Parts: sequence; C-alpha cells; structure tokens
Amino acid sequence: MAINKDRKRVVSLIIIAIFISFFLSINSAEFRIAGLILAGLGIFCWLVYKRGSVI
Amino acid sequence: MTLIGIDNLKGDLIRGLAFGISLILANILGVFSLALPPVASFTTDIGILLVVIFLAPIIEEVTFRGVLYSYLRNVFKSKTTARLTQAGVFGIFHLVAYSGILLEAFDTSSVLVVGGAFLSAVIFGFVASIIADRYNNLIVPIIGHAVINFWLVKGLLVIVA
Repeated sequence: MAINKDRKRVVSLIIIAIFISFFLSINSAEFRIAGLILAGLGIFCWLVYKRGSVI
Repeated sequence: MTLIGIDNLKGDLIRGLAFGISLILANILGVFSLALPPVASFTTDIGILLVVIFLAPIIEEVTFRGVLYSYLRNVFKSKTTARLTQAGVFGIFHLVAYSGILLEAFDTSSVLVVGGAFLSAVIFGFVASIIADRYNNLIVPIIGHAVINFWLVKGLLVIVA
C-alpha cells in the first residue's frame, strides 16, 4: 500500500517535470538539448515506475 | 527503497538542508562544484529556479539513485560497486548533458576543468547514494542537490548584491 502511494507520488512529480522540461526546451534555445535530455530521462523513469519493475 | 516517503518529512527536509549546506561549504573551500543545466539566457528568475531547484534534482535523483542504483544493487553483490558505477554514469551524464564535453573532447586546455567537474559529480553521486540508502528516501539527496544547485547559480549573486 505504502509502495503504491510512493509510486503515485513519484509518477506525478515526474510527469509534471516532463511537461515543464518540454515547455522550457521549446522556449529557450540554450536549454533545448538539456531540456530534451531531462524530459527523456523523466519519460524513462515514468515507464519504469509505471511498470513497477524496480520497486 | 521508498523514493518520496513523507512519513518523516520535516526531519528529511532538515537533513537535506544540512547535506546541501555541507556541499556549499565544500564549494567555498574550492573542492566541489557541479555542472549545471545551461540557464544563463533565461530571462526570468522563475525559469532558472524551475530548472535548478525543481527539474534537475528531481529527475536526476529519481533516475540515478531511484532507478539505476536500485537496479545495480541487484546486479552487483557489492554495494560499493553499484554506488561507484551509478556515480560514474552520473558524472558522465553531467558532462555530456550540461558541459558540451562532446564538442570539447579534444581540447587539452579544458582537461582540468572537465576532470574536476566529472570528479565532483562522481563524489556527489556516491555520497547521495549512501544518504539515500541510510534514510531509505530520496528526499534528502533531492533537497541537498537543489540547495547546491541554487547556491551555484544564485547564492553568490545574492551575497555580492
């Protein structure tokens, strides 16, 4: 039960972070590559925790 | 590992601040720094704070300490090997994603700078994995990461002003 709540918290935070990364990477040329990399990492984490294959 | 456990939030926040302040002291002594996302051209402080305090610490800690370290702990028998491996990947990520190392790979004048940035990220990754293990929570390293990032971007400016 606690792990499910933890997973929901992590996934929620990560989804918010992915959206902000994409938004900022669109609006800032300098942050474009780093923003896309961060968003990519976020999507990777999201998929991993959604599957529940780590915790 | 519980990643974002909130059972002892107040204590974790204090520990995270203490971790961040110890990193700041190391930075003042000149033995530690971290490569940061390129935020110099952002026009608003909110954009800088979003990246430095929110995005980078959360995504990096969940990826490297949450996913990668948890996976490597099961792969390697030794915790130290798992910690060193994820810290190495964390260091390489900082160089590749934030420092433009791929473009400067053959510029010998930047070897010391690049080496220092890499070593700092490796040390941070190693210590953060120990702390994440010790408190069974990622909040402490996330707060510490946010504090040192904030210091590196804005802290000096505040003091100078």
